[in-house]
Amino acid sequence: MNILLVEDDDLTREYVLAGLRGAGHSTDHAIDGIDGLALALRAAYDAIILDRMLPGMDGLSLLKALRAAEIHTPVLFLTAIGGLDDRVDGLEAGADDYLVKPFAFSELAARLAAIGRRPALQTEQVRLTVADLEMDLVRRRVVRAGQPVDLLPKEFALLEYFMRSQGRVLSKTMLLERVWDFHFDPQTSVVETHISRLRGKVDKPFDQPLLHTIKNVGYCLRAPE
Amino acid sequence: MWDIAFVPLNKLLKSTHLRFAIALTAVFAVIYLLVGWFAFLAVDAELRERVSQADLVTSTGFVELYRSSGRSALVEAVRSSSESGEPDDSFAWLGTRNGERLAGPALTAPRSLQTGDVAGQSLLPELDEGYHIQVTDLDDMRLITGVSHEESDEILGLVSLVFGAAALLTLLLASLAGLALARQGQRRIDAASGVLDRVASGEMTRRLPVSGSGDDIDQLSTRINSALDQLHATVEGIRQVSADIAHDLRTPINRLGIHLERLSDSVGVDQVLGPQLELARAEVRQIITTFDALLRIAQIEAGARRARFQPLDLSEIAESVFDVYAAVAEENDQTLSLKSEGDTPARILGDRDLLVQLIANLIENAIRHSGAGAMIRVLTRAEPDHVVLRVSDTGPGIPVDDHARVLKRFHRLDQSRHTPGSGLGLALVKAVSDLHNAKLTLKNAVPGLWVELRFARLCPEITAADVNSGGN
Repeated sequence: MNILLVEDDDLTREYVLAGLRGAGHSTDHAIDGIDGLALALRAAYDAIILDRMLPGMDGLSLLKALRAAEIHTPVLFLTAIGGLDDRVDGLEAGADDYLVKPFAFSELAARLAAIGRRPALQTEQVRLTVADLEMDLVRRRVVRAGQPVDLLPKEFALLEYFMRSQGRVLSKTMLLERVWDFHFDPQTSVVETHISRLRGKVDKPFDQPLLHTIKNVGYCLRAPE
Repeated sequence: MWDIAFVPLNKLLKSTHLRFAIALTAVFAVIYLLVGWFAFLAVDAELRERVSQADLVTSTGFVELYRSSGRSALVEAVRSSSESGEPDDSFAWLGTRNGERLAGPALTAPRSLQTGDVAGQSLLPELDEGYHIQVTDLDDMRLITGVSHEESDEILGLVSLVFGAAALLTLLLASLAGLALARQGQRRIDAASGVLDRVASGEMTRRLPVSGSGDDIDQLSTRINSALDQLHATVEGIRQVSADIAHDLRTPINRLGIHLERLSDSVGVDQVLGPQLELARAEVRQIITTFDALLRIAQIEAGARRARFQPLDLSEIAESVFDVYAAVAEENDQTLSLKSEGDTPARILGDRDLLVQLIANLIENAIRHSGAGAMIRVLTRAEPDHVVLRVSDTGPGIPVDDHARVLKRFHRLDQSRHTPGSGLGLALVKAVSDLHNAKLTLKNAVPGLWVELRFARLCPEITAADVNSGGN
């Protein structure tokens, strides 16, 4: 992907740029809001990573200007502003995701992958398939290797998210936000428990595991190679 | 102008304006009655004086006629006057001192009459008005002239009627004007208290209307507005400070995290440094967790979040959180149960995200502190005026003396210091509860802890549209 990073903190900028290049992305960067907007308006990027507190022009105004100019490049806020309403403000201004500092690069990479590859116009899918695992979205049924898999509604939602993001890593916070609408860190092993339950139904009875744990990052559903 | 908004009567009766209007009208009425009474007396005295003067003039005329023209002329004059004149209005009687009539009407008891006011019946049975009579003795004769008060009574009656009608009309108009003024004043006060309610619910930029007339309510409104400006500035200041702290603290913590990550990358799989660095990174995560929780509690306590309140079903939220934790409790060898009581929907006005976190915190507290084999019960109950949320467990509970303290920030009971957590879980529950004006109670469930919240139930008619469009 071709990614623009607008970030004024030197260390964070170097860290993110190094990580992105290491993952095979091409990058552009700006240190202040005005340069950032100029770059975003000039070139076509696959995704933009945007700080909120920037010299020249703050990230929120930059994003609004971008959206006003009919540029719909996916934008991820990477910011130290993490108050209750700030995330909502950011998403309402047209951001696709919101990540609060301090952050792990793996979390940023997972979220970037999720927004960067989102199809422009999502056609309504009726059936999702990963290897021998099939999900019927209309009849809310899951079948693996011809055998029906009985899932509770929230387990179905969790698996659906994995199947729609197949091959990509989903972090714990992404799962908490998307599947359970939790915008805080639980003090108990909520995600681990539900992943383990889902594995018990989708993976355990079969030979090949599909749902993998990516250490220190999250989980990934992918077809065996 | 008078019918812009309807003000209910029972509310109006409590209005200072109406009380002033009623008191003023009453004082006005008393003054009017007193003045009217004195005026009535004065007019009455004046009219009576005039009647007696007229009587004296008539009498004096007869006396002068007697002195100048003699007895027979007087008898003739009295006779002709009683034939020509209306006997009801005035009369003249002439007789001997013994009461034998020479001319005039046949008075009942002419000998006993004296100058002054008498009732008509004492003169003639058919007369019913009051009369003024003048009794004059002329040698062996007695002359009695009388003038009726009928005309002056009629004038007094008319005066009373006009006065009474004017009084009634004035009272009526004064009352109506008072009521109208009271309604207008009440509307201004209602508008002001409505604005204050909205400020309390988080709309910090609302201000009281100032009509520009410079009256007392305007002056009060202006002062309240400047107090609200200061409050707003303070809240904004806190928000700005929070944002500044957030930025100035998060940025270095972020950099610390990056340094640690780079360090652990370059160290590789070092047996000693690797685990140490991982511990350091875990500490960084803990710092940020505590910091976030503190910031969140401060923001909740600032109250601005109320502006985003929506009508919600609390039992539906409890169910969605229950769905998340039933499996977690089961993995811990505990049982989590959910019950929803009441025939009506458990509707309240609130913030969904915060209520989810509140219920999650209570359930997580129970899961972490009540031990294996515990029963954890989540109950919602819709009562006519309240919605109750209760989370109870069968764990060791909290000593009663500590109930108030555990709701404070950073308070953790000694025996729970070894378990993970920031010590802010219940403080956040308290903050969210206060934000929703709910009543939070901690009790001993013998054994176990019982946490109950009572929310005000929302009337079913209110919709999200009403909540958001209010005041525009």
